[in-house]
Amino acid sequence: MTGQLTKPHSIFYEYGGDRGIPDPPDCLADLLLDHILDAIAADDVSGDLRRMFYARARNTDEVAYRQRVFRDLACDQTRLSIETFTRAVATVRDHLGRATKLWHPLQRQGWFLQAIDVYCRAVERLRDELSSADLNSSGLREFRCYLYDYTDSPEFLSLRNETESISAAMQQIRYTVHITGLHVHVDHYRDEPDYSAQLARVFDRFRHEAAKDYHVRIPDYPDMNHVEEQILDRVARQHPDRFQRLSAHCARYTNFVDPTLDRFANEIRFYLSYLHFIEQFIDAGLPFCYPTVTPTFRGIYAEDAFDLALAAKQRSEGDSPVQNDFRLTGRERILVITGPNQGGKTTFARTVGQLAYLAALGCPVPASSATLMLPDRIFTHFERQEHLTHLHGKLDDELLRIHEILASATNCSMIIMNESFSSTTIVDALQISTEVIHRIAATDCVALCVSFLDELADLDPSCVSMVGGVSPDDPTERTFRFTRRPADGLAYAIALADKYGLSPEILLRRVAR
Amino acid sequence: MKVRLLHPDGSAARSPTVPAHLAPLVEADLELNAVYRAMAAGDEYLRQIARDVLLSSVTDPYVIEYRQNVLADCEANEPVVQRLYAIAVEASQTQRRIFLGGLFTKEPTAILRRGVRMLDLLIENLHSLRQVCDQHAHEFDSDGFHQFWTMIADQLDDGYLGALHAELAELELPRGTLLSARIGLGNKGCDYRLHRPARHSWWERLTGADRSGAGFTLDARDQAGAEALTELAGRATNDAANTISQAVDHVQAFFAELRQELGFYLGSLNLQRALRSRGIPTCYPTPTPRSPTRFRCEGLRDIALCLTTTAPVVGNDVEAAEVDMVMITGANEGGKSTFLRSRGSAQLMMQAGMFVAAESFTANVVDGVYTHFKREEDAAMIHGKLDEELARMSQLADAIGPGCLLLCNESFASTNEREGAQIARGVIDALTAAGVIVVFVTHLYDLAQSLFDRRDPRHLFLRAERRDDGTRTYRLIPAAPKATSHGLDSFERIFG
Repeated sequence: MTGQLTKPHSIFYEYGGDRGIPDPPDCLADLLLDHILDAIAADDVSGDLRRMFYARARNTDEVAYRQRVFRDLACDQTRLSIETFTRAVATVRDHLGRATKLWHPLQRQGWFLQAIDVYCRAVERLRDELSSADLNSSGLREFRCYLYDYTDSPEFLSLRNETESISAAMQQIRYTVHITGLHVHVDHYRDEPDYSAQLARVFDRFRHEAAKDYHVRIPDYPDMNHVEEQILDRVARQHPDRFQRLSAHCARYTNFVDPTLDRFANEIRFYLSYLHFIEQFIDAGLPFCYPTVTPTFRGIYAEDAFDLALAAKQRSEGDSPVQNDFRLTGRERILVITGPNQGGKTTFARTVGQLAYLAALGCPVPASSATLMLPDRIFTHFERQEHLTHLHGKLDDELLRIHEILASATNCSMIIMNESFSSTTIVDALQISTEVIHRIAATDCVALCVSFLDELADLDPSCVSMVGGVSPDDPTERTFRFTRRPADGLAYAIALADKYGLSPEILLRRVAR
Repeated sequence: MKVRLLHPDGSAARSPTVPAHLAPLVEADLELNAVYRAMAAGDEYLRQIARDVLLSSVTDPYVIEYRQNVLADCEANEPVVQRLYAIAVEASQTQRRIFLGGLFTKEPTAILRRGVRMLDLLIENLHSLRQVCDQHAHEFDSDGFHQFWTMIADQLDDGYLGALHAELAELELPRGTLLSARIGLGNKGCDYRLHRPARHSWWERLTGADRSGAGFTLDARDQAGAEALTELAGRATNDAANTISQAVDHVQAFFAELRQELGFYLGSLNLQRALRSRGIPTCYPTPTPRSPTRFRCEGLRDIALCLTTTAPVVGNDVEAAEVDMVMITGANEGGKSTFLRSRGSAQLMMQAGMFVAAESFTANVVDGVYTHFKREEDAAMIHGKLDEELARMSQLADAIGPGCLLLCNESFASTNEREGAQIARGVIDALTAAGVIVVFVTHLYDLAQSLFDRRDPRHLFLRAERRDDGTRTYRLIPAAPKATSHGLDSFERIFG
């Protein structure tokens, strides 16, 4: 592919262009994705990096585009080269920022020149290192082509050569400063001999082997005080040609950073930061895979999936989360999750939601293998705090929300419900939930419903029941593993008691401890 | 520059040969404090030096003789040595003569200035040293002093001293500070170097012919500017300040070393004077290598006793070649302990390079002198006294090694004779087998007789002489042990 792109190249959006700044999706907090993003984008001051994680891929092609870039970056050498480049770009921005804050024009120019120098070197280095890299993604290959064209272009070459030449010329300038009392005299350096070296020779016979070091550590500030500024002014007057060249060069190249490279440096952080984040889990033996993402429902599978937010929290304790499998095939659309309380139902629900979200972003997902549908939206319906400002009660609030969800959901959406409608009697809850399930089934979207109502499990042929396990020896010990099997069919009362940890065996254990 | 009067390599060890927790015991047992006091003649510094040198034994006979020759030179030229010592003392007090102004220690130009001032004073001392060298070097004979004077003449020749003066004058920065720098990051200066400002004639300065370039002057009230200038100058003078300060350290260390080494020799001369005034003979001992073991003395006297009594002190003659165990028995107050002390202190003094209080003395060098004397303070406690002795012997066993000398005074007497003898025999056999030279004073007849009966040519038995009428001669004679120590003599003497 030649360097003439019809649209500016983007490593993040398959066909370039800019889709504006996306809003944070509503499901983030419920799925604990906000915690995950906090960890991934910890250093992100401007918020740009975080916002990229709100921009799901438009279609499965774009998912594949991004996944292939991820795969290319799995190669350490490639990733290191690009990381070096992003760090250099950060340095360039830092120098430019510093230059704008400085008052003295010569200082500004000095830092500006340094910024250009770092930029040119970084670009050339990246070109050299990528030329020998094994790249398979169209994203990176196109970028590399662009890089070749750019570094061969006369504009870049003249920028680099002029900068090198001016830098070299500036570094050759050596000047003398003669201080007598309060008077300072600046002049050219005329090869005066190094007096310190001479002294060392004279006093050589007064040297110990193990002598104490009397050097004072003088800290180096990048700023100059007014004495240094005045000295610099006079040095500039004594070397007018070189400083003129510098000034002209800086004026000519006020915007020297190529916009495509700049954008690349920004966008590639999406991939680098995610890979950096999951590295710790991979090191701990947890699986990640590139899921097959389908445009419509063609079955949903996942093996050994786990909750990424929980994994992050448990890392510090040296623990790993329990992994689970799930699938929906044929007519199945709705996972009904039941089981003992505190048994990991919410975690399981989050896992499914996270996998769908991350897959839609084009990222590798926390599972050993997965096939997922690309959701147009992910809706969550979790218990919320009661708000006194609302004129409605809690139940009303929930009903309003589910109504909105059902109105917006399509057959490509995903809905995740967690213990909905619990602020009413069991009978009412069952009635409402039944109605909601039927409507979800009518929409034909994928859904997951966590409930303590076992009846929901065989309400509709599209429902699949999954139950959380307990240890056979100790009913109070949860395994956090979910398996497809019929719900336990406990009577309401017992189910209620169980919900509050008041079933006979459990209560006995609790009190007799 | 190193002094090398105590050791030809200049590497005189300053740590005691005997471990720190045992050294005070040896000093107390051998009454070394009397020796130190005589060497110090009232000067606490000399006392400390005497102690340091005496306790860090030299084991190379060549070095011992090296020191003896230096000491002989000092004796022949004491006034000159006193002068040298005085110069060294003055140099060590330079610090007090300069106002240090501790506020400035973080600023290179101030560090430089202080270093220059101190060097100015120290160079005067070096000058004085040179003058003494010029006037008196030819009067000295020893290798030690020869290398010292040669070193002074070589290192501090007129040319060099002149150059030093000139350099120090320049380092006062009389014509301001000249530095150069390169343009660095952000066009800030870096890679600072110091230079000497050129000298211009007054005419050039008047007409401004010395000036090209451009200048500016800070306002007198510009405090921040003055600080900035100081910092700028400091970057350039950092290296020079370091060089000069290190030079000061070196010269001060040299004078401190000179003071120490001369202090030891002057202390030895003090001791010699004290002994001579009492008519005690002194001689330079002959050190021999570690093996074969040799010991021969004529008229050996205990210095501590000599210094504390006005009565005439009897000397001892002993011949013990290739002997690794000497056992001394005999009448109480017969001079046994006195001999033991003199044996120990003479060994230490020989291995410090000093003279000894004898008419002649020859001994092999040892790796350390250890003592195991009965502890007078514990005399009241009978119970546990053997424990204490054994514990102390065990401590010694940790430290002592082949080639050391152990002096035992009535060890293991704090139990019944048979038991004590058995313990003592075991200890003596083990130590001598390990290569330790043991000198053992004892009343345990069982012990002495059993060892005597072995007829081992490597064992020597001495007895404190007693005339038939009961008087002691305070001399030890080679003789077999006797069953009685004539304690009755003491009884009769006291009870009349």
